[in-house]
Parts: sequence; C-alpha cells; structure tokens
Amino acid sequence: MFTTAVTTALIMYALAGVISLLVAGLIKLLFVFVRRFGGGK
Amino acid sequence: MHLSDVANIFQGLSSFGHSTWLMIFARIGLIILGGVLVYYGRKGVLEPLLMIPMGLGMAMVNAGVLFLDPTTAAVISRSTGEAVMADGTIQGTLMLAPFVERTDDLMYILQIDFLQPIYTFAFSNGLIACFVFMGIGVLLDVGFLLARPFQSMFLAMCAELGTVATFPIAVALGLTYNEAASIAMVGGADGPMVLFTSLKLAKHLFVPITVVAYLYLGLTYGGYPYLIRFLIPAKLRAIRPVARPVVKITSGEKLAFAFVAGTVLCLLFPSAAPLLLSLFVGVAVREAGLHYFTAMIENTLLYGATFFLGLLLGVLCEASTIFNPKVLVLLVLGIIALLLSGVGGIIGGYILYFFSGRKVNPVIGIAGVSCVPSTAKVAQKEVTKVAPDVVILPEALGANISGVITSAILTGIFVSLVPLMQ
Repeated sequence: MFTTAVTTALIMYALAGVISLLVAGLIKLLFVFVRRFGGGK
Repeated sequence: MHLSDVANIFQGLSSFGHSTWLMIFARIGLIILGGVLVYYGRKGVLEPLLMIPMGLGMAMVNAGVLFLDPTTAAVISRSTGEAVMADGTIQGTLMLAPFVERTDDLMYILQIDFLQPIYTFAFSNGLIACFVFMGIGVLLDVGFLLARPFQSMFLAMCAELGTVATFPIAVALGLTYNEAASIAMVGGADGPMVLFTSLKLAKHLFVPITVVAYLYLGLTYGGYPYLIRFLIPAKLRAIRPVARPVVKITSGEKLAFAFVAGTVLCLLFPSAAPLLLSLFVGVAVREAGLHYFTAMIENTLLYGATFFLGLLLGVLCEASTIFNPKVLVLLVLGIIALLLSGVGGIIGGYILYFFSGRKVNPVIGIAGVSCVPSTAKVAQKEVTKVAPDVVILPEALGANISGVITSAILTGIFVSLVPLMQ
C-alpha cells in the first residue's frame, strides 16, 4: 500500500508539473497572440 | 423537588457530571484553546478575521452543552449512532448537528439549531469556500504571474512538495488513500482547497481536517520566518534582484488569461471546476472593471464568508464532534505537510539562485506556498530585516498567485485520481 502511495504521489507530482508548465506556456502564448493581434504593447 | 432538579437549571455544568473524564478534559481544553485563539487573534499573531469568531465559537459550543429532548435525541442518535440516556435525552447543543444527513432528520434539525441552515446550505457543499475563492480572485493581481510565468509556476510546484510527500506518509501512518489525500492538501496551504478536497474524499474526517488546516494556516505567519532564517543565511537573504525591464500587462491581457486558463483547467479537472470558476470569475470581474461587482465580492461576500467560516469552524470544534481517534495523526501530518511545503519552496528558491548565476534571492521560494498574501509578505519582511532597501514583493507575489493555481491543479488531480486507487 505504501509503495503504491509513493508511486502514485510521484506520478501525480509529475502530472501537476506538466500541467503547470502547460499553464505557463499558455500564458506566454496568450501574450504573443494578444500583443500581435490585440494591439497591446 | 430534589437537589438534582436545581442542578438541571445549569445544564452546561451538570452535563460534565454525565461525561467521561476524557470528554470533560477535552471540553475544558477546547474552551481554553478558544480563549487562546481570541487572545492571539487580538494581538495579531494569528489571523484575527478568522480566529476571533472561531475562538468564541469553540469556547461557547463546549460550554453550552445541554440535554436535548427525547425527540431531538432520537434524531441525533439515528445519525450518529450515539446511545440515548435512560430518560431518553442525549447531550448536544442548539448550534449545529454536523452528522445529521437523512432528509427528514435534517429538516427537523434545520428548525432547531441556529447555525444549521448556514452549515447545510453554504458550508458542507463548499459554497463558503467558493465565496472565499471569489474574494481571493478579486484581490489577486495576476500581472505579477503573467510577467514571469515559468519562474512563478516552477517555484509554486516546488512548494507543493508537502502536499505530495505527505500523501504516502499518511498512508504509512494507517490512513486510507482518500483520508491521506485530504490531509495532504494542507501542504497546499489553501483553506478552501482543503475544505473542498476533504468534503469530496473523506467527509467523515472533514471537520477535524479543516480545523487542523485553518489552525496551522494561522501559524504560517508566525512559523515560516524561523524556517527562512534557519535555511537561508542573512547574506543570501540580502541579495538584490537584478533590475529587469518592467513588463506592462494590460487588463485585457489579464482578462484573456482568466478566461483561457480557467476554461482549460476546468476542461482538465471538472471536479475542481466550482473552485476554479470562483477564482477566475473574481479575477475577470476585477480586470473587466466591474466596480460594483468588485466591491460586492471584496466586501460583502469575502468578509461575510470569512466570518461564517470562522464561526462554523469554531462551533464544529465541539468535543464530541472533533474527537476522533485519527485527530492526533492529522495534527502531526498537517504540520509535516506545511513544513515540507516551506522547505520545498526554499529548495526551489535555491535552484533558481544557482541557475541564475546567484542573482535571484532564494527567499522568494517560500512565497510559492499559496497562503495569499501571507507568505509573500513574510518573504518581504524577512528580506527587509537584513536589507531594508531590497524589494522582492512583485516576484514573491507572482509565485504566491501561481501557488493558488498549482494547489487547484493538485486538488483536481487528487479528487480525480485518488478515488480510482484500490
């Protein structure tokens, strides 16, 4: 049970890390789009 | 008329005579603890907005125990399994009965206990947690996050170390997967997330878990400065961040971020959608310039929800409700979770420090723990003590806001994945 919990925790941490990177990338992408097409500076 | 009938007038006192020694000490201890919370709340050591109503609720619910009439006693007994006494009565209060769930019993209790309507219709379904999140959304300036998204999200992920590491530790200490995930969320240092996760995964333990979480969150303001001083030498605390060109973020960009990030996260984690919607609708209202809505959420909703949250948490600390054999384990795990998250955040700060060529102040790492805005303020305060002219608050706030988002992500993962584990 403990080994399963450790494995699951590591998988969940990795998954959360990937999603966080995705959100950060999304923010960067938004910037490019909004600044190029939205007339922002 | 007998002497016992006179004692019956003062049921708060006479109820002690019908309790076990453990319960008597528990009630007295909780009354004293309530007083301590009020005292330290008034002094500003603990968060007064939460601790003063909580302390009063805690003291008075444990003082105001009486013998409920046989009809009410039967309803309580049916829900809790607690045996009624020989005269058909049972000990309880006229404030709240958190374990009553059957619809007809609940309808009866709603007419008896004065806080039951707020508990049933706003607390146990997470509405109060969502109101608090809307308020946090209105207060957040996501510009700090948008200026340095990768750095902020990296620090916030490091500061989730406690959330992830506490999960297997809790399992090793004998908790089930669902219970372990609920208490591990304390590492996210986000009260509404803990409330939400425990309601979804371990409803039978959500009272002690939420109380433990809010008690400890009040302590971060007092405890984290020592952790920073212990792990980061004064020389490194005084590092001045390199001046970078100011990135100006328009309100339109922040609104677009709220829309896209909120929608994508809801798409990924529908089970955390109520909290995500609440957070991002707060951000959107602020950035869209809807001043009437902003004022309503910031003043009425946030303060109203915080007041009732504190009061209900206090009232839920009735000795017979909170005393569960697992409470001691939860107390230990809660402090481990917060401690590991603080350490994780500082490790993240050190990683940035080394990778940036020793130019980043590692103290900003602690702000990745999403106790908005306490941890960012703690970070700035500790830096100011050794270098009064060094400002790290903008970067710290970026990490702090990212912490809310990573906590929401982990809540979504826990709520979605943990129930699938056998």
